[in-house]
Amino acid sequence: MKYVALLAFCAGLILAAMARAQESSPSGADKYALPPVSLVPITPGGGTPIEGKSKIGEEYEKSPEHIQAGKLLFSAMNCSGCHSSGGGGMGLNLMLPTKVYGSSIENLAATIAEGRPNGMPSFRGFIPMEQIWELAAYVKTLSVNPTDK
Amino acid sequence: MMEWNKGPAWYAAVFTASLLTSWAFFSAQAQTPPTFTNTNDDKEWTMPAKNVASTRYSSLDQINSKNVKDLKVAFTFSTGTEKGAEGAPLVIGDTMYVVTPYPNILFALDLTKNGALKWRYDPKPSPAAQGEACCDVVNRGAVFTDGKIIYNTLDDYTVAVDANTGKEAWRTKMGEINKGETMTMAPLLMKDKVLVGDSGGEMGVRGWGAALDVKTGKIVWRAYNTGPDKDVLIGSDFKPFYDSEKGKDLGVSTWPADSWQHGGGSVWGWASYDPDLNLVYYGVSNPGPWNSSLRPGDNKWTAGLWARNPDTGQARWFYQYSPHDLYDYDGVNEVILLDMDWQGQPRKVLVHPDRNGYVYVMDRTTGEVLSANPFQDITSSTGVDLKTGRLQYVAAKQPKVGETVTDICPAPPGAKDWQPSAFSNKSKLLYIPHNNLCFDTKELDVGYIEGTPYVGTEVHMHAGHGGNRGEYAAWDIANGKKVWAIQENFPVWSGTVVTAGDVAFYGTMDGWFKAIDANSGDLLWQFKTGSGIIGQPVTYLGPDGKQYVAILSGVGGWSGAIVAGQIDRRDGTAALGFVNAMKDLPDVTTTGGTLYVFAIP
Repeated sequence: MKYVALLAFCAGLILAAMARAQESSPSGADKYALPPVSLVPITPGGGTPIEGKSKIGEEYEKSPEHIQAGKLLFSAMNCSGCHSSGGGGMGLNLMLPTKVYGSSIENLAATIAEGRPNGMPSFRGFIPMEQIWELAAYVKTLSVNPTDK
Repeated sequence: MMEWNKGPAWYAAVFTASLLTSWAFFSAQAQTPPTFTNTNDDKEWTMPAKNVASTRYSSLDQINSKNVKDLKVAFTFSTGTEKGAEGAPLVIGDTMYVVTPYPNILFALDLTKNGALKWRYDPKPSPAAQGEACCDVVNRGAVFTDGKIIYNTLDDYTVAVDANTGKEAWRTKMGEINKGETMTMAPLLMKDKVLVGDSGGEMGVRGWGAALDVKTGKIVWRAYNTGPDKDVLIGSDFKPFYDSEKGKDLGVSTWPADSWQHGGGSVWGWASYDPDLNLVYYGVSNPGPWNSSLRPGDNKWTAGLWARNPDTGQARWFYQYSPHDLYDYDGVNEVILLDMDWQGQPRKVLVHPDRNGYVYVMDRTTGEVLSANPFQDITSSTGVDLKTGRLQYVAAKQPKVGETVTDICPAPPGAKDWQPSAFSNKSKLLYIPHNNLCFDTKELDVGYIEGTPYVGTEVHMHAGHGGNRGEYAAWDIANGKKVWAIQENFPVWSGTVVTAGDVAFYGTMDGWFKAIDANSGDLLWQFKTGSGIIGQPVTYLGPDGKQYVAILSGVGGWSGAIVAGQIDRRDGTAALGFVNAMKDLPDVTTTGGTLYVFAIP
């Protein structure tokens, strides 16, 4: 298990370099691109906020393989360093169903990619977008099926 | 009251205390604070530790063991913050100064008007700094000198603010949040300089201490705690007492290749200064990562204590409390400077209750350990070898990769964390607010990613022997044992102050501010504040000539992160495993920073 995590970590570093290269060539990256997505349920003038559903999000959050991959990345990319086993610490509590920056898989992927002002780093370019979606799929399970750690 | 040691010595102590009106008489030849602490400024409180010897003793005695029961709230002030309030209020002239946890606002309160707000200074720290601080976003206070209030911000600036106007006098950038560095310690005043250091022992920083000129904010020196001697400021003046501290570039050779570059060793706790010896004393944090299997070697110069020349930074000696630290036993706790007879010889000593569970008495001229006695049940080591100075680890409690080792005591926050002790000139006792925590741990592989935690362990903490998670102990320094102790349900995460009125004050994490008899430990008075207390009490004379006692209430810190950080109690590993021991804290307290000031009406 630990070697899997270590391998995932090393692979992550290589993929990080690839991801940075990818940023400059949009072809092929579109499948994993973040959809426009609102953070709030209110909008002025009687409009409807963008729910921002995505095909990839829908696919990954139902996929045990991608969720499992996300779980390994959660340790290997050191998400656990701040969010512990999901309950939080330096980072926010991920076991709460309502999250400050949105609870949909699209919101979660956006949070990981862009970072957030009060201490969440931006992982765009450090982790490939495909793996960010896997992480988001795993993080979603932490509040949907919370377990004691 | 905890019946700590019901052997003959305990009964003798109780008997003696009951016969004599004061403990001071019993120990007339005992330790005294150095003469350089003799000043007539007890009206004010200008630095968190009261004086550069860090005794936290006040000669004020209007409030005493007889009348403290009549103490009432004089005024309060909301800091507008929801994070752990570990700071000490300062009093200079007719003004009180309070530094908040992030966002590190400095408030000046007018003591002639019941603490009315005079002005505020906002250093505007980067919000991102909150994501780089290991254990809540605390600040341990400021220092007054040269007409300025000087303190550190979470995003790595040391700032100086004109104490009259609230205008910024200078600001100096000291570190990089992107590398995991933050600043939380209170600066120490050393003549015309202040000592500051970084936090980030859990972030794989390369830790340092530095001195700044109080007039200009210019960095006079900076000494790293890992790496080659030239970076550590080790030169010809360096004369450590023990052989294990001797050799060239030990800050490189006691680490696996290059891992000293992110080996932790930060400086975030307390420091003291001896103007006679012209030495500054400050401790160094744990090495990184916590996973000790990844860093074979002594990991110099972490988990130990420096004595340095404050003018040049050049090291005089170093002592490593916990060589090759296995358990996050930072060496940053307070060092109290005293003069005492030791086996018939007068010695300039320092007294230090360490995370590893021992109260050290050391010769502060040479760095020799004179005694090291346990103040909590310890399973991680059997003692300190006074010949070699080395901590004697217990092999069975050595953490392992992928395998859980249980019931290691003390836990990572130690038998005592940052919460500073006080020494009474009258009772001659050391008053130690501390923890009683043990833990289970498993080491995990971890790679270093700059700006993120570098820990590599899975920790579950729990209460130590007896089930109480905290204790307030009165300690006999010469004999190395407890005189009495008060059990507390939660870790006693507040500092303490003791006065010539034979009263000591401390707070609890469920919000009680307590006054106890400094001789007997009897509870004399308590007041329930709005939130849990992890601050540092201080006492002063107001403009009306009356004695006041002040404390910040506001739960948080590492122990209170479960409340201040809204951490999920279902995850025992959260907050580096502290949540497992604090699952009931959210049931008894909520966040919110408030200053409380008390007086006898």
